[in-house]
Amino acid sequence: MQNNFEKQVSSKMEELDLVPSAPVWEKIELQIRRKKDRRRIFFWIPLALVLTGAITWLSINNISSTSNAEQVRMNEEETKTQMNASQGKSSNNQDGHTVIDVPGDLNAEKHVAEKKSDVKQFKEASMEGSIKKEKSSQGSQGKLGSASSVKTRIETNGIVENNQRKKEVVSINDDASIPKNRRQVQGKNDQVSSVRVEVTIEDSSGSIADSVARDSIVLADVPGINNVVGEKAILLAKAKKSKWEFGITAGAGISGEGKGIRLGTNENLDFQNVGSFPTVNSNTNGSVTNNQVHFNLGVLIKKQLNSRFEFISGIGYHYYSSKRKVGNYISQDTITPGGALVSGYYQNYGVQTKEVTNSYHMLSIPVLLSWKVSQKLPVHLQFGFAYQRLIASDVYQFDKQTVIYFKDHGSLNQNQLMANLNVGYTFKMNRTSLFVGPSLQFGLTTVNPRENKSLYALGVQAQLFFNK
Amino acid sequence: MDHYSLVKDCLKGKPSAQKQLYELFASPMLNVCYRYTKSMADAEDVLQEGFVKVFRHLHQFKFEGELGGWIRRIMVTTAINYLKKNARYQTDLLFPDDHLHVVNNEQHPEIKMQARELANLIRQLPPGYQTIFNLYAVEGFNHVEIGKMLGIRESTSRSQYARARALLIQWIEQKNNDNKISAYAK
Repeated sequence: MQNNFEKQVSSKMEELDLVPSAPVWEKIELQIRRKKDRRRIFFWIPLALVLTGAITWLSINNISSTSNAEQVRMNEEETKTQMNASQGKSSNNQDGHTVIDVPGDLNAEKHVAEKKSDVKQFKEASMEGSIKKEKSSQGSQGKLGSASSVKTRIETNGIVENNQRKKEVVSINDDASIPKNRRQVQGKNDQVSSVRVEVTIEDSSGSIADSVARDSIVLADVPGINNVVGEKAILLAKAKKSKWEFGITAGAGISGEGKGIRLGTNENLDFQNVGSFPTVNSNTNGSVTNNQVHFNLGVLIKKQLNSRFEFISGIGYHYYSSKRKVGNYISQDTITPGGALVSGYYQNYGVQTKEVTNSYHMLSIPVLLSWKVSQKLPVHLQFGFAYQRLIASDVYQFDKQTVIYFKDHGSLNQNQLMANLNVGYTFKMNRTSLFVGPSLQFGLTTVNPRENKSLYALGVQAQLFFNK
Repeated sequence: MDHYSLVKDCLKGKPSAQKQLYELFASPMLNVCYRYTKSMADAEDVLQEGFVKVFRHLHQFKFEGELGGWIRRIMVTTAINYLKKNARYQTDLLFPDDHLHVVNNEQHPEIKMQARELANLIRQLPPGYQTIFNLYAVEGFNHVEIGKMLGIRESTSRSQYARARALLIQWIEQKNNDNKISAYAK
């Protein structure tokens, strides 16, 4: 208890009136602003990653588009040559379309239609015959690279069923009669004198997905055109634009914090001061943290970049936890070394130790590239980064100088950059695809700067994508 | 502007509010830092570091106590950490037991000197004594709290304080005598 002397000293000290020099505030201001700038940097990092990904994707796509355009031009030339050689008339119409007249006894039912939305229409038009669905072949996919979209217009006797932008038109004129059962569909037209099949390639970015060609329809037995027009239609159909796929993801496993990944059990190696009083210069590092539960949930978007690569991003929630031993609990308002006011803390020694759980709640934005390891097997290797923001925590940090364990959310690093690595098998189902496999995450930044510790997690990851 | 509005504005990142908060507490907090350090430059370093922490952790201030008290505790903690980190203060912070004095806790000399003079006397104490004396006599912490803050035993804090107090009283009495002599000479 303070007595008269202490009161006098305390009272005298209150009279002290010192004024700091001007540069002090300038330095403080500089440090506060710098902190804000650092925060801004962390905000821009994920955006920069997304932009980098987008630019990479565009670059890849441009290369593919160029090669695709050349491929189409070569096909066109080939078509013209073959048609002319087989006495057909070939001409360019006014809007620059290539029109090829194919003579012969062609029935309306022997013509080509393509495209999911048009298939139904086409079928309704009772285009009977040998329309068959054809799966995409690896070879043709490889040739086309990543053209963007293909649209087909079918014109029968001038009735246009679908009108799209076009670069190329293949027209087949025929004087053959339309069977009676087709008149109903054709309406006023009793006869079909010409059937036009227009195949349009939109020259925008995109790529061939495995699923693209599954609705491709080609006539197998159109004399003279099967090998040219039909094949071409397949090729072009495969060049349909790859779209964003949406999905959900979930994962679970173990997580921990440390300077590296620790898979063993806690041997309490550093917790050597139990039962004794530490000195002021104690070199203890605090107790070892044990691995605990990790899980994550989120939504993802995916886009095919080319036949081997996919771009994946999204947003999710991650929970990381670990356990550590602490000593006596002191219930007392205290200012932590980081300057926060806490209602109590744990010492690094005590008769009875206790295990506490450290938990981190993170919001995560992953930016991943998925690489199809094998052409034959649907095994994917996903790698990339995730920006994570600490939204809540319940973490006991150890301070070497005061030798205590305390909670201070503010002194944890709120922004994290995690490296991600997933390997898995993709199961293709009707309209979904499921990726399952082991995953590894490790922090490239320290989450607990006081102890220089980063987060890591090992587990199993599942991603379910819905194909449109 | 009241403290509540001031803190809220600071949290919004308004530079004018931040400067106002600094100007309001800079002087009293420099007094705190001055007592724990050996030079004005060190005191200003602690003040700067302390205020950066204040602004960084201001969101943790829940208005459950005085803002000044909260900032003061941050300054004290910052000063202690500064002493621990700074090599100039390291050796004496080990609280050596070789300066044993006869301690008489019943001595209560009258302090006639100016505040600045007394502060300078306190600053002449070895850093370990100086810290414990400030924490106990000026800040009002008890020896259990001081022991926890410094990572030493309560008994160590108690004995170190007694020695610091005895030394300071000795110096104060000497100063009082010198003043008497000079007054008599005049």
